[in-house]
Amino acid sequence: MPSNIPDTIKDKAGEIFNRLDQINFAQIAILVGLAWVSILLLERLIPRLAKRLPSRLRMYLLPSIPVFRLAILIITLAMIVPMVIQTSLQNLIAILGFTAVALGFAFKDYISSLIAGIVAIYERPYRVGDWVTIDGAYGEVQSLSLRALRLYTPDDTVVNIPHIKIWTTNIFNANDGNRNLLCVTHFYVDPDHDAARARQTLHDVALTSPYLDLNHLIRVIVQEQPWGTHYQLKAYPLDSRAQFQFISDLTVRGKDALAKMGIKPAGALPAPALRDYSG
Amino acid sequence: MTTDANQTLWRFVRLDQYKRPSGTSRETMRKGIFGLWLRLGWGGKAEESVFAEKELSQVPPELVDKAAPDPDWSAPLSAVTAVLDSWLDVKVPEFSNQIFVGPPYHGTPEILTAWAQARGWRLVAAPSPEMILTGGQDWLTQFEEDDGPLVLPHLEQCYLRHYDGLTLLRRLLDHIISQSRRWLVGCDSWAWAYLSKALKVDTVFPTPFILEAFDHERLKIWFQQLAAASKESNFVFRQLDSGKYVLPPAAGDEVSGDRSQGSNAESSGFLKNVAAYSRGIPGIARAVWRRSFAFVNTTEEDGEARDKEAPAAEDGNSAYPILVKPWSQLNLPGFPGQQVSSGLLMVLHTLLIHGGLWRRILPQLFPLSPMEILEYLYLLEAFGLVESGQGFWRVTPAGYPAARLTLQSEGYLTDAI
Repeated sequence: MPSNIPDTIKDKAGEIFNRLDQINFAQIAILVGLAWVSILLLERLIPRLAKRLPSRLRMYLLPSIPVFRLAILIITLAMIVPMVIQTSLQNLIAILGFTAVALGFAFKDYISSLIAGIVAIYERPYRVGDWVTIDGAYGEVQSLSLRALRLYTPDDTVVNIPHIKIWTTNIFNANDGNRNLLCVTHFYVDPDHDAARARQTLHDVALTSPYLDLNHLIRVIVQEQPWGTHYQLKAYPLDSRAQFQFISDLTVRGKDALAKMGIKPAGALPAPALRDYSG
Repeated sequence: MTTDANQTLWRFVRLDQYKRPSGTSRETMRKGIFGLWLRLGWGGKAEESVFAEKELSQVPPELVDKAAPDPDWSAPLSAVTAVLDSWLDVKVPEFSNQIFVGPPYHGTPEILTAWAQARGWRLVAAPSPEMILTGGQDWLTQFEEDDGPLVLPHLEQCYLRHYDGLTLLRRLLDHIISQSRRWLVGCDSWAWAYLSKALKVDTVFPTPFILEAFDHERLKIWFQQLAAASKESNFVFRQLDSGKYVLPPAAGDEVSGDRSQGSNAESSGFLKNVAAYSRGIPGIARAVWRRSFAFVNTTEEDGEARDKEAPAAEDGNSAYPILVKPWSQLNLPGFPGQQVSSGLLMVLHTLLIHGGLWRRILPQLFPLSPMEILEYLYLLEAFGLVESGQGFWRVTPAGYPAARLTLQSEGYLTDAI
């Protein structure tokens, strides 16, 4: 079949790429296979290791996965490229330029996500093990691939969010690489009570929780509202993964303690929750 | 037991001056590598002996009790008086109270109790858990009867980690601050750490004292004193693998050949490891010491060759050469390699910060069902980390170092000792 490709382009391609019979495809396949297996092992072993080692090391180990993965990809590419093209500065520039233009048109968002993924490794708006809110989804970052992150929500749902979000969306990170995060427990009570005693009692409720991290201060914020008194009990659990057990523990024991003091729950709903159906 | 030996052995220092004994570098390396191996789940039980227990003759319990009996806690009384000297001499001291802090099995409550009895100071028993949860007003009224000096050996048993469990202690601290009567208080170091964070108890007792750490030299003297307390038997302690003396033998017990060669008379590094593992806590060192007795090398069983090494004492008492397991073969309690659940650690930590707890009160302190709590307690008991006596659960002396290490690595609040 006669070729439609002009000879000049054929010549240029011949100058850039090695001849097919010169390319060792078996070696490339082995390299790709090795990289794939290495990444797979990395993604399996590091989380297993993190589970077995003390919890405080978890926050250091898990975020290292994307860094190692990127390193493996770069090393593999650096080994494969010289096998395919004739390495010279001119050829490299030509190849990179061509790839950028072609992929940029075809997979603009995909490439943008990949670049954002690389930026995310260095800027660290989130790390594996962080508790983040992105576009209304709250959960623990389970893994970071080059294109997206996997968020595991408290409702047992996995949310895949492309890294491209970091260009346009606010990322709310509750613990930012630390082991613990602030938990806020709300109490809405009838305003007719001794607020100083109630505040001290709620402080003791947090102070005596077995989930509490004693290295952080406990704060009780009291606000008078039209419908009653709003208490916010702010404290840190020992482990961010125990945040819901911690809040539940504070809620159960806090309600119990307030009830023993004769404090009744607020009788009406907070004002913003009321709707006007009259019209 | 001489007064000089007692003065060397028992000394109290300020809490911030406490120095933990360090172990041998070989053991530190072994523990680091073996510990990581276990963490990764590739090992069996922590500190598993390479010899099966059945290969070694068990030392009969009555002989263990004779070789390392319960200590006499009246021995350190002069040390307590010495450290309180200036406080006792002044009619109106700057602070009307003094506190002695000590980790579990440090002997602090026993020493303070013995001291109070010797000085005729009134001893105050801790309130019951039920009293604590109701504010303990009845218990507090006893302090209004007179203004004589008081000794409270168990401050850790005057509160509960419950929202109603701090009121009594707050009232007691108010009473201590506001009155000029003298208070001598003992407190567990874990409770001290918790209460310093929770109630700033360290501002009420600004100069806590602690028994100086038992390093290998002190342990040597103490273990010799304990073994000598049994008038009926003489003991010689030698390392099972090398034959080296673990404690230097008394003049009459040393083998003549050893003296000339000098090699066997060298003491082994075993006590250094005991001192480091027990963090300088005498009660824990004693528990480890008792576990290390592997084999009684009796003359009846082993004939002439051993007869030379175990001469009968000149006074006609039985001589017991006790072989001590090498440190690496000691089977000490610990967590198995797999991940430890947070509920298990929670129970362990709560037991420690209260110096032990009654089973009946546990369901009020945890967001766990009674059955879950019981399951965790039995699991911890199976690991050798906790024990129960008539419904009172506490951490075992031999299991304490492993429990502390795990809680520390999981980020729990630990004592400073």
